[in-house]
Amino acid sequence: MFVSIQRALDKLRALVGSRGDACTPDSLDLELSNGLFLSGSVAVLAQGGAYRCLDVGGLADVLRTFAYPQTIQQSAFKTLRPPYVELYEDERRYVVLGIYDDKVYMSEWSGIRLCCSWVVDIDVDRYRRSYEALERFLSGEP
Amino acid sequence: MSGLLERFDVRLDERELRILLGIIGSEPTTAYKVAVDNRMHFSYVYKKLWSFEQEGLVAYFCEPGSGRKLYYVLPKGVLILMAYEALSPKMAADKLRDRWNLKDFSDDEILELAHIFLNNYRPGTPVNDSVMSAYVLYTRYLAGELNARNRALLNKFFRRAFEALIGLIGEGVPAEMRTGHSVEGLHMTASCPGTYRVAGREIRLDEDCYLENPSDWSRDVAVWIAENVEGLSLTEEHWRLVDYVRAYWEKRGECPPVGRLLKDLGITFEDLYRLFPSGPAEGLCRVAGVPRPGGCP
Repeated sequence: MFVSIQRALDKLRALVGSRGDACTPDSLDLELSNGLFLSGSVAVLAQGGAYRCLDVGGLADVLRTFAYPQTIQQSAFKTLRPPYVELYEDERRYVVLGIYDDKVYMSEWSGIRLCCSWVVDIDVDRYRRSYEALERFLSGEP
Repeated sequence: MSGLLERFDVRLDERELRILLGIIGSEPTTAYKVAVDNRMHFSYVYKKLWSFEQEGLVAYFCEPGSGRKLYYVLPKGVLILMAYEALSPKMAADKLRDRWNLKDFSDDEILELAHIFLNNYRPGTPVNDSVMSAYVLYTRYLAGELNARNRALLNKFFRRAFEALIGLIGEGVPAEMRTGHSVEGLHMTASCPGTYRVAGREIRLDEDCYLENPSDWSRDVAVWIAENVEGLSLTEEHWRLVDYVRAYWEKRGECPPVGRLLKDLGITFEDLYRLFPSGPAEGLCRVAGVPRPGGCP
């Protein structure tokens, strides 16, 4: 029901660190988290001036699905249905995506209090497929 | 420079500096734009912006109409960028003049004031609030502790802060704040604030209908609040959530973050709002007898 982008990125970082090959990436399209990048379908980990690369195939597109969620309009909070994709979570802030009325919504929480809720420009079918792919990635063998 | 940054206790790496500069260059701006401009994943950008918020470097407001969160750099962020020598003097002066609301100060005066702040900064100095900052600087000025040569400038700054303070006092407290606000979505038979007798014990609800003294809570009180404030009859499903929140609060002194609550109990937002239609921070926390949770800016 829940997948966490941060957990997925932590797992990907470990994977590239352990299975990636030394490389010189052509370009770095997207920084996923500190020192972890995508270059096309290749995940790139920068480690002390050197790079390790691992082709992660479709996972790259899945991660891009959630890279730039643009808020289309603010909305009164809807009772979001699963699946939920957690974009950020710590003890004080929680940013989560969910579905309502065939649209993807993002809501931001501070502790137990709802701050804001918006419709975002992620296609709902792509959202569901990406969720499933992330779930498989997180539950699969490292 | 390093001495100044040590006093601020803020260290920005190259990427963070770039993000902060990007915000100040296009403010007010969205997390989406920051992500796109810096080719960073939203989750990573959000983490950075949230850390900037906690450091008092940026803040945001919601754009009327669209509700988009728009971030802008606070005076502390401007001063940090100045300490990194990353801002042109003109831009620094313009931003600080705007943020501190010192419209009739020249660029040179603003920049000199900024340097007084930088050179006299101590942790905790409220640089994002010009009135409070002036008060702190003034007390140090009176104590002869202020390292500043331009007394005329300081006097002008203190006078302006004093006028702003008088203006604030003059505005008074808006009527709706004095009389409390209506609590939307409640099915109240009780009025708040108010004192009531429940199961032989006196309880007091505050103006937002939360139990004023959490130690007055009991299961009878929970049932009473549910019925008389939230219009709910508690079922086993409700109790599962109420007991969870109450136990969490007793252990940690705060309400559980909503994500943890959902995952620990294996429920959805739908379940949560079906059980407590006024929301978790409101209905659930009221019934659990915990203080009103703070949170959103």
